[in-house]
Amino acid sequence: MLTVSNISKSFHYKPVLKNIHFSVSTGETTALIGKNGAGKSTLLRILAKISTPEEGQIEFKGNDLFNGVAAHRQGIYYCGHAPGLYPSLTAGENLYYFSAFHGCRTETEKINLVLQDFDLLDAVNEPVKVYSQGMMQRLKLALLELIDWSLLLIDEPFNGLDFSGQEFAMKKMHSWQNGRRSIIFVDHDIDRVLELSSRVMVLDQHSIVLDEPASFPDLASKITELMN
Amino acid sequence: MFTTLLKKELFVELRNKEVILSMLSFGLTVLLIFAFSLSGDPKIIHEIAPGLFWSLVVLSSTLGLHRLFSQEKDFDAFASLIAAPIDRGTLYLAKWVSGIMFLSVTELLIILPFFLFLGLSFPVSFFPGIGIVLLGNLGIVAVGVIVSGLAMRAKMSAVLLPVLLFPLITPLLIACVKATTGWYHVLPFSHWQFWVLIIATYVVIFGLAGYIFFDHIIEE
Repeated sequence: MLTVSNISKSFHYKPVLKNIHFSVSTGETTALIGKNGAGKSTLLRILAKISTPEEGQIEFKGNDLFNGVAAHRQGIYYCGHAPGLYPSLTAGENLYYFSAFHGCRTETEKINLVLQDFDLLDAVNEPVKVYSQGMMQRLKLALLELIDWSLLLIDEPFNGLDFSGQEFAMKKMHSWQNGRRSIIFVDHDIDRVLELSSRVMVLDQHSIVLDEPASFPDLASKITELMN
Repeated sequence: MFTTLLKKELFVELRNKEVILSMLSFGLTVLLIFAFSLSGDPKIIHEIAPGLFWSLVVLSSTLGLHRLFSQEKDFDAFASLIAAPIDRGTLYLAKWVSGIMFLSVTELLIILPFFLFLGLSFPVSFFPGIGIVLLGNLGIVAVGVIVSGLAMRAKMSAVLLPVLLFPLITPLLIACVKATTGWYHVLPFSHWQFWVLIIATYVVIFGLAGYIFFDHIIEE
């Protein structure tokens, strides 16, 4: 589904990523972990074509992502660190416009059903700027129920969520793993990473230093060793 | 997709009224300063009126252009927007058209006070003037969206925008002032058509450049 070859990126002459190579198959859930500043978020932003690498190539479903054809990015959904929403619009308006940007026309009834499912219906008429971080996080995840995506790039999906919110997001992440979709997510909780993912990649010193299936023996201690 | 993007731009502005209000309040303030400081010979005011009008437009538009991406910058909605499978040239077009709309509405609200406060006589024919102003708006916003998109990610975007914008639009402004002077002073079209052609060339060059290169302009 996704092939990443020789990606390098630096900010102000300081390298952030060096010669990153990997590929993701359909149905795979890949956890990307590493210390702060390891380049995880930058890598996700490059895959979402928000950021441009100095060199390298990315193919999604056999198409080059950097040739400027917007349709080649169809099916990729990026969910970043920041809310990534229009602060003055309500939850329903944000969902309506962002689903339209992803090529899906969504009826108000369907939007309200999804908002109910994500426990946001009470604040449906409030502008998003008054939402708590957890509510914004849930709203970002709610969009995934409305659009047709095949690759999810998500940076710390449990960030800002309370315990029940984290349980809910876990449930949703499991439900999205239906064998037809791939997920690349960034997280810092090793137990959760091992529970959710089928593969773990560790970024350190601007490169991938570990890339193993989640079932790999004694993976947790290996990751802990690399992270310290 | 263009209509959805344009609808979103207009809807967000309708909700905030951020762009138009900032341009309008600034424009009216500058107009008042002009009105109180230019209390001399009406002939001189009549002579320099086109220059005053375009100074007013360019100063107000700088504020509006700075706010064009502000809603997207605050919560990083811009990242979500450009990560969506949208042709980035279309994104530029939507920003361009909405920017022209906001600037034109502001001008529409300012034009009557402009004539009244400065004690100017109304022109003989309105339509050529409307054409020049619209063409000028097309040019200013075509350049403005490119520069605003470039400056958006900078920490000092409010400083960077005028620093980049003013040198780029100076030739356009000169052409706008010359064409408006020709029209307002009822000179034959042949005397100022050259300046209209300059504005049109500016619109085509920067419009095309924005459409083609916006993809590279907005990426990190």
